Amino acid sequence: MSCIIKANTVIEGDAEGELVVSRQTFSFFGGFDFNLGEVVEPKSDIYGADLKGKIFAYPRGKGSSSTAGVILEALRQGTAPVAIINVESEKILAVGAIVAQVMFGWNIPIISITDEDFQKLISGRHVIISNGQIHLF
Amino acid sequence: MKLTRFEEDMLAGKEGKGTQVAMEIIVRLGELYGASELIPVSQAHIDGCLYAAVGEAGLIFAEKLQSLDAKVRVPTTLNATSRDIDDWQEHGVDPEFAEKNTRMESAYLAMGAIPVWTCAPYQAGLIPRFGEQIAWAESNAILYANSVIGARTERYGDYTDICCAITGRVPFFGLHKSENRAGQVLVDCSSISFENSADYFAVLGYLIGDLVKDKIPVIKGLPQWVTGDHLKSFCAAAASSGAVALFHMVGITPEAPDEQTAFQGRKPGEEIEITGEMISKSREQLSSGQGGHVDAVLIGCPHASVPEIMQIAAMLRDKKLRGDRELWIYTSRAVNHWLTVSGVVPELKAKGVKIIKDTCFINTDLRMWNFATVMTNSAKYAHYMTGRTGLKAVFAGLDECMHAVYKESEKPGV
Repeated sequence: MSCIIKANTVIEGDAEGELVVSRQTFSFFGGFDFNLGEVVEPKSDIYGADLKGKIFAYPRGKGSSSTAGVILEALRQGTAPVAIINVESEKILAVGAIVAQVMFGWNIPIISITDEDFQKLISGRHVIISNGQIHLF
Repeated sequence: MKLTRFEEDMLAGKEGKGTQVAMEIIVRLGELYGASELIPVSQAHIDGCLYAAVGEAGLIFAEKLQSLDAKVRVPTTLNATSRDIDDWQEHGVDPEFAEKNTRMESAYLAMGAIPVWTCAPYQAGLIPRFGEQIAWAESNAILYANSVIGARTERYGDYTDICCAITGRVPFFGLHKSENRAGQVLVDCSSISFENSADYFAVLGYLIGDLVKDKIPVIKGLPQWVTGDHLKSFCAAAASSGAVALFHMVGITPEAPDEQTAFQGRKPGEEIEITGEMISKSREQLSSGQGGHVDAVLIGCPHASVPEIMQIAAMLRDKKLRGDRELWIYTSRAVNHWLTVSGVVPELKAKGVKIIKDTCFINTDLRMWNFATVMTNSAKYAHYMTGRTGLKAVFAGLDECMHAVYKESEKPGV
């Protein structure tokens, strides 16, 4: 059943793609390989998942301050997710996205939603992010 | 956002194109988090200089700022780089990879940063005072500066760090503000028996980081003998399993003379009691590999301090290394220099121990070694080992680490 979820925009932009959902906290540094576009942390509930071109949802960030660097390199290589959905978006991630925009003109929308709405997200669903809303198909 | 005339000038490009771009990024970040003004910082620590972590984009970014003639406006130290700048060839680092590092290092040096090349700048770098407004990156150093020293920084990451340094400004938000530094979760450690070792505090940090995520814990029940090195291990672990940027330890850290002060008079949102069982479970989670065969023992994440290396030298005195297992100690070039002069580094090197400076095992190129399993007393190494290098890690105390490298017949008392 399709539905619409209202979101707060952290980094503006529209995106469309398949959803990959982790229920755990996530660090791009050590958790994601920018050469492969895959989740490489064995303890992750989505270990091995391909994030390239996907809409990646995880509740909160954690870990190293190198996450911004990993995002930027993934954008350069074209291995990054096309958008990120969080409950709380941390500054380190937002910075990577801001630098990508200001310095290189690369865009990765980041939005945040409530804990309750996050529960509605399921891997494999098709999603359109537009005008600060998530359309879940 | 309200900007001073000088800040407006920076944003308008009157201080050069490099400053303008940096200012644009700082203003965007501030607007995103609702900051109404910027404040000056007295110093910065840069994390974005680690080529292995940030890749080609990080190099392009640094060289772009360099080409725009950006210069740091406040004293700025550099985190580890992705090789030992003097001895990388001896460690088998690929020359092409080393060349990328040379370019990255040169770009940051050209901007005027100070080559301390360490992830523990609070032990061998520019050490801030209590309450000082600073802009630090490197998750363990952020946590140490905020909590142990009581300086004030947000969780800056790659790229904002250098923008803060170039502008000398940060948005006035988050942990720069007193009211946001109050404790949120009470963590009671009164019922556990503390061990006087780095690995014990690493496990405790790993557990608490996982429990509190990005909240500010107020931790009580700690012994008075806790050292800066214990807290260094704690910080690196808590900032790996969680996104902790500040903790208070009652009677230990400067913003927590007592529980009430640490919470700024507010009530804890949550209370957690730490048990011995939780500690054991957290310790188990840190190992991705089994004991038995170990290729190398790694010490120094964050970079080993003078006392830590002196302790290892004392443990290995009158012992011979097995020869089939490597013992690598990662440290800063400052610590390496002091201990070279004192004779400790030559003593360890004569036994076959590698003292590696400037860099980090999980952020360099070590393919030629073909390691499969490594042992370490660092929770941060253990946590990131598989994701970063594909290797398995065995997490162990320093005693076990040393037992793994010296000859069995040379055990004490034999």
